[in-house]
This record gives sequence, C-alpha cells and structure tokens, in this order.
Amino acid sequence: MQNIEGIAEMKVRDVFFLDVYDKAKSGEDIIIASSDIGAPSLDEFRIMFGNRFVNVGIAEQNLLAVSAGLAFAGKKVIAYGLNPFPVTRAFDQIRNFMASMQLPITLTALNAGTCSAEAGYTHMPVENVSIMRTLQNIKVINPSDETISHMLVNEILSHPSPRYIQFDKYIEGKQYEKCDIDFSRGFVVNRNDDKQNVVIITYGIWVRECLKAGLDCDIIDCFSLPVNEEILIGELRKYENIVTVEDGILVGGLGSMILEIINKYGMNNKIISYGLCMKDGYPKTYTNREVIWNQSGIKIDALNRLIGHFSRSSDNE
Amino acid sequence: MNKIRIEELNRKAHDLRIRFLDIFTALGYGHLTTAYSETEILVALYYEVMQYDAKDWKEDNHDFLFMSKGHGAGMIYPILEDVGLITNEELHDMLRLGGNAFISRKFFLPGFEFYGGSLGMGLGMAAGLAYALKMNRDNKMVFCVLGDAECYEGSIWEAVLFAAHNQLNNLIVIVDRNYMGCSDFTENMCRLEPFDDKWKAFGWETKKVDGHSIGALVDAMGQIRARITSSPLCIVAETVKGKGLDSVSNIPLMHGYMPSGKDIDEAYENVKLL
Repeated sequence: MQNIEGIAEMKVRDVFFLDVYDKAKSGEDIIIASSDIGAPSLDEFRIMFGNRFVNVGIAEQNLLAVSAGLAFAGKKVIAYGLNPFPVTRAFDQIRNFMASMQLPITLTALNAGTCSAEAGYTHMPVENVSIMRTLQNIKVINPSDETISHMLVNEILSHPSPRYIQFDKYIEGKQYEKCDIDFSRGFVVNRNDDKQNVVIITYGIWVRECLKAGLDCDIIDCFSLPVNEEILIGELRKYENIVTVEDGILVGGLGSMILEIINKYGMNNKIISYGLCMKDGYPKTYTNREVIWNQSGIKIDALNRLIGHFSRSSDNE
Repeated sequence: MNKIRIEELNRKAHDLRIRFLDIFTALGYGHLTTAYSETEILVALYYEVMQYDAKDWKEDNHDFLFMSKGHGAGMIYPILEDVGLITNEELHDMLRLGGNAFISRKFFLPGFEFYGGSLGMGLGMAAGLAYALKMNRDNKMVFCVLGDAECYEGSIWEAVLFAAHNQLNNLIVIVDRNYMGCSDFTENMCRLEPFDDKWKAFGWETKKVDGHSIGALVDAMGQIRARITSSPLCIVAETVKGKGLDSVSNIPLMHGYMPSGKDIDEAYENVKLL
C-alpha cells in the first residue's frame, strides 16, 4: 500500500480506501457509490476505474437504493457518504435493503461522533450508533486504529454481509497487531496488569483518548457491534466496576448495550456511563468536540478520579 | 398485436382479477383497488414483453421487474401461479399465517426482485441494477412499476436524475397513473400534472397510453430492446384505481379495501371483463 502525497499520517478512512483500490487493481469487482464525497485516497480509484465510481450526487436515499441494485447484481458495493446523512436521511432504505433484504452493502461514512462538531449539530452523527443498533443483520464498525482499517477490506470480501463503518477523521496510527483483532468477537481488551476491579468500555476516538492518557485500568474497545456477548461476559466477570464512555448520545448507545447485556446475564457489576446527553439543548454556538465532551462531563480527569475511587473502595473491602 | 391475442389477454386479466379474489378474500387481507388498477400493465409485461423461461428459470436468466408500488404486489401471485413460476401449493404456503415465504424472500423470481411497500425505493434499486447490467454488457431489461402517488417521494426523483444521467436505456418505468393516492385524488392533494413533462424535463423518453388497453401497453413497449435513444423510458399508463369492480373504482379511501362477508359474493358477480 502506498502513502498519499501531502498526508503525513494515514487516517483510518484512507487506509481503508487505499486497500480497496489495491483489491480493485487485483481484479475484485468492487464499485464505490458516493453521495458527492471523495477522499485523497479515492483519487486514484476514480482515475483508474471511472465507471466503478458511481456518484449519485447529494442524494443519500438514492445512494442506498442504487447500491442495493448493484449489490443485487453481484457487485461488491461500498457506499460512501458524509455522516450523519446516509443513516439519518436514508434510514428507511437501510432498514429495508440492508436489515430486511440483507443485501451485502458496505455503507461507509466519514465522521463519527463529534469529529466535525465545528460544522454544527447538522454534521454530528452522534445518534448513528444508537440508531443502527436497533437493526438486526448489520454490523456497526468503528475502526480505532490502522490495523482494524487494514483488515476491513478482506473481511468485507470474504464475508459479504451488510455493514456500516464510520470513520473518525482524527483517528490515525497503529495500536493493534492483526492477531489482536477478531471480527467475530467484535471487541479487544487493552490490558493494564496493575488494576483489575474496574474496566472502561468504549469505541472509536475514546479508545485512543484513554490509552493516550495512560488510565490505570483495562480498556475494552468494542470496535464491531454487536459484540459476541458470551465472550464479553466472560471478560466482564473479572471486574467489579464498569465505566462506559462514548462519543455519542447515551440513549441506545454503547452504555445501553452494556446495561442490556449485564441485565440479560443477571450480573450485578456497578456501571457508570459517560456519553453525550444534550440535556441543555443542542449546540447553538460555534463549538468543537472538546467543548462538547467537557459539557457532557466526558473528561480524562473525571475518569481518573473514578478509577481512583473504585480502587480505594476495593482496597477498603 | 392481433385482435384474437388481445381478446385472449383481456380474458386473462379478468381471470386474474377473479383469482386475486380467491386468494386474498381467503387471506382476509390485501389491496384490491391498486391490484385492479395495474392488472393490464402486469398482463402486458408477463404475457408479452418480459423475457423469462417459466420452465427453466434461474436467478439471472430473466428480465427483472421491480414492483416499487409494493401494495400492488398481490396481483403478482396469481400471475406467477398462472405462468408456472410457482405452484398452487407454493402459493398457498406463502400466503398463510406462519407460512413459508421462502420463495418470495429469495428475491429471484421476476417481480420479486425487491421487497416493496416502503414507497419510493424500487426505482433507485432498479437503476442500480440497470447500471450493473450495462457494465457487464448484459442485455436484460429492467422494468419498474411505480404508483403515481408514490412519485411524491423525493427519492423517486433522485433516481430519475441518476438514470437519465447514466443513460440507462435498459430501464423501463411504467407509472400506474390512476390519479389517486390513499386519501384523495392526486390533483387535489398536491398537483402532479403535467406529469409526463416532468419526466421529459429530467431527460427521459416518455409515452402516455391507456393503461387498461393491453394492446396499447404492448405497442408502447414493442421496440424496447431496439431503441436507438440513450434515454430511459417512462410509460405513463392512465388507469382507474379499482378498475373492473365498479362499486369500489375511482373512490378515495378504498386503498386498503378487501371485500368481506356478503361483499365477497357481490365482488365475484361484478368483476367485469374489459
């Protein structure tokens, strides 16, 4: 895989699209359908495979419908749009073509959570994970490093099924080895051997934030939802306390998913969930993701205090 | 088409309307008026225009039909049974509570390429398939039956733009133009006219025909495999919702009507041969 001129670090999206280009060059019948969005990593594909880059214009409903027809014809379709619109505008198409008919469309979208918060609430796909979790048969993937992104193209081609992948434009670099990543489990544990009574469960950008801050606990990265519940429960039995963190609204998101699983398996872990609540209304001024995280109390020092608190209460027992 | 064949197909349309009553009054659920509105359109497609081999069908050896107006899918069942694509037993197994919908859910019979009903979705998918067929230099045709009131959906016009831009001349739309939605006439709700001009303005070839004249419908689609234009084709088929059963035809709020009780016998007696 080549690097792209002018891009110092490879973002998860570009890692993925350059791999797609390599596969197309090697003869895979791949079509990229786009709703008027490109990427530096897509330029070569567009030049080399003109009629395999299908641009429908800013028409997300048609993006999904055309992708459905292409997938029906046996093409390996990657639909690509700007989040949140492919999900929020075209949810009915996703619901029918991907969930119900199970056409093997890979829906990819640039932007995850608050990564484009500067553009305003309209461009924040903060509900997308919650929305997509309501559907059966669709995997929801948040690549948190280059390795996951690299593995996606083979995963898509070897196991054709409906997928939704959202790329956070600030995630770059490598955290995992290939052997760490198992798409059938859907999660990976970043172990910190010192403390075992508390675990943070998160996905996407907050995996990177927690690891960068060196938090004194294990970090579980749920990079592909739904996770394998039984294996996850096996992990969660090791911890007394669970903290979930997500760059998305709390309703129906990762925190809800963990509560559902813990309840289903009759466990009694203490669970604290961090996520966006928008309880003071939707952003009305120019903003960015750090401001929004602060307003929602999603902060590294708050997580540090919580970990310290759980550690002390464990020591006192 | 010769007169004898037209008469034969008119009788076929009548028989299918009767068979529709058998199937869906027994089920106690269905959309009679929309099925009767499109009967001649489907007869023209299945008995004259579409290419498929009922005796030796495979997933990909036939023309494709997207019933985007999914509420009208009911009329597909008696046709598939009549042409021999499904058996009587399969039909009854598919249309019973807890039955085996395996065949329709596999999406490989012409007319069941798609799970319609959420309006506005079939045309985009049909266009995507037409695009892929052209890429593959595959000369099968893609047909899409739309309801006129379905054309209020913005997604239809997204697909109309796409198909014209990509010169999908292997895509044929037939609009069941019965001038009625669910609650009212289209021109009372939110005017659609001049309807065919809208398609023309988007770059489509258009034809306007009597949608209950099988001869006119077949003529309009007579040369579709040898068209010299690069434009997709839209046939506006002027119809009457509920055609063939006067007591319910052209009356708003009859969209979800299926006769029950004593109305069933009355319906059988009154279904007309056009």
